[in-house]
Amino acid sequence: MKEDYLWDKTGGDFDIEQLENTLQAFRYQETAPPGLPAKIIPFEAKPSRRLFKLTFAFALFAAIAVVCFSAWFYFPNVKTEIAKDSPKIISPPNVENTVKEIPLEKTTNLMIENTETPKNSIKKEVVKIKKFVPQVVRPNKPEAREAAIKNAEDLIANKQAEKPPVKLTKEETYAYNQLMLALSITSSKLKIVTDKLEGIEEQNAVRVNER
Amino acid sequence: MPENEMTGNMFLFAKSETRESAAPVSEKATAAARLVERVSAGDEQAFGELYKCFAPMVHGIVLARVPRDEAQDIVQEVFLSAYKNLHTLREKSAVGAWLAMIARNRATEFYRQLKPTEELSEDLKGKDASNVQAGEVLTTIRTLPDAYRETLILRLVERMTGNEIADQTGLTPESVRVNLHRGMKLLRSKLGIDGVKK
Repeated sequence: MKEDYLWDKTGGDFDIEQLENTLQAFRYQETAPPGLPAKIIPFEAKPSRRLFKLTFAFALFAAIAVVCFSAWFYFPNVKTEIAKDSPKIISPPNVENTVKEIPLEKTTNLMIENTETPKNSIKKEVVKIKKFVPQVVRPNKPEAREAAIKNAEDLIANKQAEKPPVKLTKEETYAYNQLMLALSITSSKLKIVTDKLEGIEEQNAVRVNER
Repeated sequence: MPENEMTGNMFLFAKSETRESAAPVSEKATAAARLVERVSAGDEQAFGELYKCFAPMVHGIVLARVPRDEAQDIVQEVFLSAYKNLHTLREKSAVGAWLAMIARNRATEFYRQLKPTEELSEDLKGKDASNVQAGEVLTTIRTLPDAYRETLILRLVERMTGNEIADQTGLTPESVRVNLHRGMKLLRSKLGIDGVKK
């Protein structure tokens, strides 16, 4: 009987009834339900930072690709002209075997641009060859060195004489000037950076202050 | 009863609940599911009905864990939280068990956020002798294991029958019956009433 009262309140159990009466003070007092919020905002997952980084990298890559393509599309004639006319590497005829022993970096000194007037370019090339030949010819044979320089000069003079002067269109000239301007600006900036790194700028500033 | 034995029983009850979940849902569960659907659709009246139906059960579960002065506020918080997260409820008919779980979590959270204060003893709260006795009984019930104290408070304080407790909390009737009987036995021994009036 007692068990039934505990389960479904049938019958009677004095102890349990007394406990119920004692604990009545704690019973739930009916109250109004809480006020509902005006609108429930569903949780939205934020896009991860990694995804943002990837998107940014892709956008950057695409921008670079577009710039490169447009540059290539805008200056194709200039590039082909320069590529066609410019001699790659000139090695003195008598010192071919010696040149093979030179590391690749040093041979870059022989790169000659052919975008200037013929006279100036010949002078520059001769100067470059004079600088280059002492490196590749053995210093204990001055006769061989002199001969190599002379041969190189003759060779370049002949080549320049054979070659017709380069004629650039207006657009090409404009593009070339812009390129040179950009290079000069870049080199000046580089020089500033180099000076700064070497502390020359600071030394100059100190000198100016001393004055 | 040793703590280990109690834990073992809890495990068995959990298993039996899983077995019963395959059974067809009762009419009450279907009604609860409909109520939940109406609340999900933004029906405030349905929310009021849901509150009226389950608030005593939630109150009992909260009262088994937190001071009685805080219980009412926590009940309101439980229902607000339930309303906000109703879209996460997969099985609408199990809304009672879901609310019970939220209530337990809220009660745990209450102690996490609690600043270091000391609750007034039940003696100081009122000079009424019956209140003092009620406080003592409640404190004794709170010393019982979780499963027993929750069921006993729902039975003795909220005056729900065993079947009502089972329906609303999502426990099986067998689990509730065992919890009631074992809990009552423990309570009797702790209060020293062992079938005889103290």
